[in-house]
Order: sequence, then C-alpha cells, then structure tokens
Amino acid sequence: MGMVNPKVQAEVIEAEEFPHLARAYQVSAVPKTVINRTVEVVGAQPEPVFLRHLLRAAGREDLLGPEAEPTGPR
Amino acid sequence: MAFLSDQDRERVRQRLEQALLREVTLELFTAPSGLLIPGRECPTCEDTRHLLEELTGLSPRLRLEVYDFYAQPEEAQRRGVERIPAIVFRQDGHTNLKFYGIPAGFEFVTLLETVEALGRGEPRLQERTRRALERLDREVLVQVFVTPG
Repeated sequence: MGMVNPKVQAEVIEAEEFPHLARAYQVSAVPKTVINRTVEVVGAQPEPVFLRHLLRAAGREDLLGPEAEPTGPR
Repeated sequence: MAFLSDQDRERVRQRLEQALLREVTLELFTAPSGLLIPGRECPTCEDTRHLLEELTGLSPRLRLEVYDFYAQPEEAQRRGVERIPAIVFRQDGHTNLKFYGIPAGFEFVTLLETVEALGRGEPRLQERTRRALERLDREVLVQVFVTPG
C-alpha cells in the first residue's frame, strides 16, 4: 500500500529483536499490525478489511466510497 | 559464510532478473561492526549487512547503500529511521517502506517480494484499495510485527 501513496509509512518489525516495542503494543501473536499507533489488526486480514482499518485510523473512512463494507459471503 | 545456498542464490537471481524492471535501492542503517559501545549493541547488524550484500549482489538493478545510524543521524532522521538494523526501500526517491530487524527465515521472502513488487512497479492491490489510497491526504503509520519463525 505504501507503493500507491507515499503518505503510507509502512514498516515491518521483527518483534523478537525489538521486544520493548512489541511489548508496548502487546504483541503476542504475529502478524500484528498497528496503525497510527492506535488501531490494532491481529492476524493476516483480507485486503478490504485491512483497508477499512487503515482509513478509519486515518479518519478518512469516507474514502471507502459508496460500496458497502465487506460483511462476508453473499 | 554464505546465507543462501547455491540453489537459493540461483533461484533468487532468476526471480530478480524477471521482476526488476526498475532499479531498487536498499538503504541499510546499521552500526559499524566491531564497535561495542554499551547501549549501542546491535547483535544482528553484521549478519543483516552480509545478507543484504549477498542479495544485492544477485542483480545489477538491486543496489545497497550502507549508512551508519550513529555517525549519520541526519540521514536516519530524514527517512524516519528510529532503530537498527533498518532496511529502507528506496525507489523514485520514496523512502516510506522500511524493514526493521534481520530479514531471516520467512521474512527473507517478505523482503524479496517487496523488492520484486517495487521492481515491477506493481503494487498488486485491488482497484478499490488503490483508488481509496490514491486519495488519502494524510500520513498513516502502518507497523506490522512479525517473527522469523
């Protein structure tokens, strides 16, 4: 996602090498994603779910557009 | 000591040859090896450097630049590098993608795939995602915690 917009600062962090940081965000299971230091996404999520979390953390959920949020199989 | 087997090296070489249509630079922020200052230990820095030297040696389009985190703090600050070892993926002047820690085990694949995606110039995202992100007007920090195992 960082490739599309350079305003997305994306970091992959090895939890074992930076235990202070991992502890600060209570990382127990990986992958765990923290967005804007506040929104936590545990596990690998489908892209639309992740996008929703990202936009919510950025306060721009309006960018999701008129499409309904993914709720599961139709 | 080589990190990659001969077989893996060849495999990676071929992947990079196919994927890297554009040049990608890995900027490694590290501590100079052999230097032991309490509070500035970086146990994985040397191995990370060797691994990246090996990797970048496999493609003429993949370059490595090494920076001293402590001696060149302005370089680190400019890219928002806060800890080491740090690998900044630079392309077209952008430095918003980073990897912190040694990219060992499964994370080597992550590193390789990131290099390939950048080299191809294709983020491989859904159209809806791309559209939303293109209109994003503010900074977002996404930190993904992983383990090598």
